[in-house]
Amino acid sequence: MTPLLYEIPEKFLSGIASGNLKLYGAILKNTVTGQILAHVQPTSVLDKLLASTLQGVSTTISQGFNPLGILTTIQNEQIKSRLTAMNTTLGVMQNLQVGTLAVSGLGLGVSVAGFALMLKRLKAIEAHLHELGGRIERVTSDRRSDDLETIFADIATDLETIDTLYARRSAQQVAEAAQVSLFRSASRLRPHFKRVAAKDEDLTHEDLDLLWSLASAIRLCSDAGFKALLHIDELAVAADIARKEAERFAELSDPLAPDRLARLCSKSADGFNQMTELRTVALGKARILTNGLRDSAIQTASHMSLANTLIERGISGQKYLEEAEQEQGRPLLMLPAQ
Amino acid sequence: MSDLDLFAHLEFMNWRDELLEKITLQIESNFPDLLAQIDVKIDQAGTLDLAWSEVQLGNDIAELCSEWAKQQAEEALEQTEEALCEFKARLAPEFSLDPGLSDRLAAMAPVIASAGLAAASIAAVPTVVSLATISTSILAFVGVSYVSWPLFTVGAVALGVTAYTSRRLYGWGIERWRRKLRERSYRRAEKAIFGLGAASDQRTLLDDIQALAVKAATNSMENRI
Repeated sequence: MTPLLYEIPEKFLSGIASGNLKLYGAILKNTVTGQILAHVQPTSVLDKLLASTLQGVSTTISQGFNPLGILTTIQNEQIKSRLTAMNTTLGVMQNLQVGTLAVSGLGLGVSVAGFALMLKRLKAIEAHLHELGGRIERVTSDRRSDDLETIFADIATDLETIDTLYARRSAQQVAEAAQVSLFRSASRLRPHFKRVAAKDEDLTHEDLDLLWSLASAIRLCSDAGFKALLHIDELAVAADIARKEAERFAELSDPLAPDRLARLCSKSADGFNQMTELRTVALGKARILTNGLRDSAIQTASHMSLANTLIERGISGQKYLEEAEQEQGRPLLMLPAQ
Repeated sequence: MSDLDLFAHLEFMNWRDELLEKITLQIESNFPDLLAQIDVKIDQAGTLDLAWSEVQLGNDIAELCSEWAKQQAEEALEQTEEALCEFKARLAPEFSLDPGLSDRLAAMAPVIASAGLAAASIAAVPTVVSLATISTSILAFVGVSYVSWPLFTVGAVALGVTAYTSRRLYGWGIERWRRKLRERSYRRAEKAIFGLGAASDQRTLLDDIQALAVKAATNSMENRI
């Protein structure tokens, strides 16, 4: 049987390095003609490489979630260097943040993490939100009927449901219902996010971490919902939803100028010198948050493009996912656009 | 929204964020220089008529800060113009692929760029601001924070009375008077420029300059000015 996914050729890697080709999320494009050449897709091998590279850097990451500020920018770069040293193909990830990768599986292409792993990640986010404790109470206090715990419980149920799709006779209906429910959960999380993001006083590092955790949960819903639609070959719906989700991620990031967030975090300082110190520390975290949301917008937009390519080429979404999941040797592959 | 529109939108927001950071860094880097200028004014304050000196100092420092604010605004607008050129060059491949993209981005830019800025400053910034010429109305806009610089009364009258009783006490008092003036001036400058200790809805010079720069940039993109 002819494979769908291929190794990324050397000429593409050098094209990216020279600037003739560019990665827009997972979409590989010619910068001059705008032609889409391929969609880059991680395999399960990359998850293993990432896990071994992150070993010793952070225990929380190995649990599936990276709280804001655990990984520094320097560590991000070191991890990327280590990954690239293991496999030169991974050089295509040069513009990605490992912090984002750890949140979303990879932040490139469709996550090949099983739903069980996604569930583990959700639990890690939820546990972290509990650690932020008092903050959550404040966020949810004015929204009594719809608290975060209920939403997380709903997401967990949906992930568990999707994980059993292979064994179900009515997989189509179950997957659709779970996807709709995940979509709804993401919509219920967004007002919580926006409420914290709109604060213009007393903003703290915990608030930034809370925003990061909520954004991660929203991303998880988006990724899981898209993957569920691919499983049941609802590619046109998947493309349409991915486009809307991408716009929503962009919209969430628009008011989050890192400079403003960092300055709000330093406003309680006692004098100029303390203010600059506090601002500098908060700025690093705020940048990770905002970049994570914008990466999510771009990655989700590449989901849309991938679904459209699958439609054009008459490829089954389920088959595409299976091939990425079953790969044993290469961490990154690509689906040629034509 | 096409994927190219989304990409341009996000690139523009990244550009805005880098610009805001640069302006903050600029103001922070130049702030110690302002404090040094205030120090000089206070050190030069006459000791013969202290009550008059206080009033005069208030005016002098307000003038000094206004002048400094105008310089900062000019520098920020220069930075903005340079950054906008770089941004356009970076997105040139996308603009050439889709000739309508530039206009669509320019149309959405004012709304999305304002999202991360202080609402009070956005509301106050003059609509007609430009990167090309720095008008007096712009300079008045950034200087306005200092018009009502508060009086510096920290006890000069009492010091004047002390002068009649003890020369030694008077010398000690002068130093204390200067120290208090300095502290008060620093706090006032920190509050007006960075909003330290200010109410959350109070405009600050930094917010004003950022709003000004972003407004001028989006006006330039729309080719309105």
